Amino acid sequence: MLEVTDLVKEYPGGLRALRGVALNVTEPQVVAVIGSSGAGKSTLIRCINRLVEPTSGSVKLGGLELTTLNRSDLRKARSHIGMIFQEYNLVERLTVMENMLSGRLGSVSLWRAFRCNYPPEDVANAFELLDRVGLTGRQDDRADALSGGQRQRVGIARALMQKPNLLLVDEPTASLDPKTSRQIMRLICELAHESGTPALVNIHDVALAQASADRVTALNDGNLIFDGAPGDLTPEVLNDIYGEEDWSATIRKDDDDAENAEPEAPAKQAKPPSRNGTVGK
Amino acid sequence: MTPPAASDATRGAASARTTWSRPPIFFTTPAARCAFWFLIAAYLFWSSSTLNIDWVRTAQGLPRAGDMLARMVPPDFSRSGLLIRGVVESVQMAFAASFIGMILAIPLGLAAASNLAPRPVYLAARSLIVLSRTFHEVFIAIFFVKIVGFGPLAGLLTLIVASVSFISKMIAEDIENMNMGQIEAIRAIGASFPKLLLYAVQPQGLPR
Repeated sequence: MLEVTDLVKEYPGGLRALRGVALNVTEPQVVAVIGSSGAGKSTLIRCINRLVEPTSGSVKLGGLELTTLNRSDLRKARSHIGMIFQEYNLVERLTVMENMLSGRLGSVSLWRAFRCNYPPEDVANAFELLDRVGLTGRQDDRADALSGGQRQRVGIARALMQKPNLLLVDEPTASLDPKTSRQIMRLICELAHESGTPALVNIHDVALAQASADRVTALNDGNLIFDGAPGDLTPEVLNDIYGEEDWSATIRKDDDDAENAEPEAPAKQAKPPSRNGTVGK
Repeated sequence: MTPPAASDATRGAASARTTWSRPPIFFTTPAARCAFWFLIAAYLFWSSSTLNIDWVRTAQGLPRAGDMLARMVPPDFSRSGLLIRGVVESVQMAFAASFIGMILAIPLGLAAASNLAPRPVYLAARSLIVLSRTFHEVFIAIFFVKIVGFGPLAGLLTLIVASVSFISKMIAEDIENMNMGQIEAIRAIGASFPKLLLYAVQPQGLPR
């Protein structure tokens, strides 16, 4: 499905963010990418849909080489790659529904986009997804009226509106409180599995990555240094990824899953839970 | 891990210091600071010495100024038709110029936003804005009077130039202050540039 070979990104100024990364995703699974800040996680994800132009290497999605596409073919390819962001990146002054329908921008004409006149099946799909992410009835609210967790739910729904064949997820929970983080991760994994979409998820929270992903990979200084099952993450491996630290409190199965669909307090701009001591990209 | 004794010692030394002044921002040496103020003083002296103010003539002019002000009260409305026509014409010109200027300013403002336009387009648009803001309106008015002759049209064209340069600069600056994350998200969906304007730029620029 996704085939990344020898991917290199060198930023102007000589910073080598990726030094020959190879990553194959052959089945619809959730692949967590862990690693310290600056290890190249965000760059890796953005090199796949070319929000960041890779320096060299190859990215194949469903057999299609993405790195050499021209602009209009790239837009076509992007319309089938869903992306979820740390800061949600909803268009804040648009309504929830407009934000969700913007996921269809790749497939409607400019005139229909301007009139906000989307095909009925897209609208039906949007309402269905709205229910699925637990925001029934909120379609007319402005995106900036929602809390962090709710915004991320809209972000997830927008990505799924694209009917993606790949989900790129960049730190989906880093701006959320620990409980909302778990709910959001669970939602992403469920929806990815239901729709049979492979997902690449950058994540700081090692325990959460272990608990939710089907497979864990790790980047260190632009190199992929670990690729295996969540259970294979031992303190030795984590030492390789992050450096020497006491991991006894980090590695454990989370069984505090008794907090399913609870209402969220509105408009809490929670700071990232700093359990790893790192914030942002 | 630092031994507690050592960290206590550093903390003690740090708390002994009670004064702090902000490091200089523009002039890092006293010499540079002195040179700056010297240049300011020299400029003020030079420019005032070239003004040629004749205090005697100024004193003679004062009564005449007073006479002129006195003749303004009460206002003379005997030619009110001309007055009203002039005012209406000015307002019409201002409205039309603002409207046309606004429309023309949108593409120029987009081209002058560094986060959307390619570098050459950006530089060209910015130069155009700077150029049209450099010249005083009266200057531009003379230019248009030479082309189309006296009348409202010359005034209209002048005001259009003035409002385009002003509004496009505002638009460009507003766009440059946009949240790029929202742009990135819409780009990642695979939207073309016009759709990007419609779904990420316009909502952030226009209040709604």
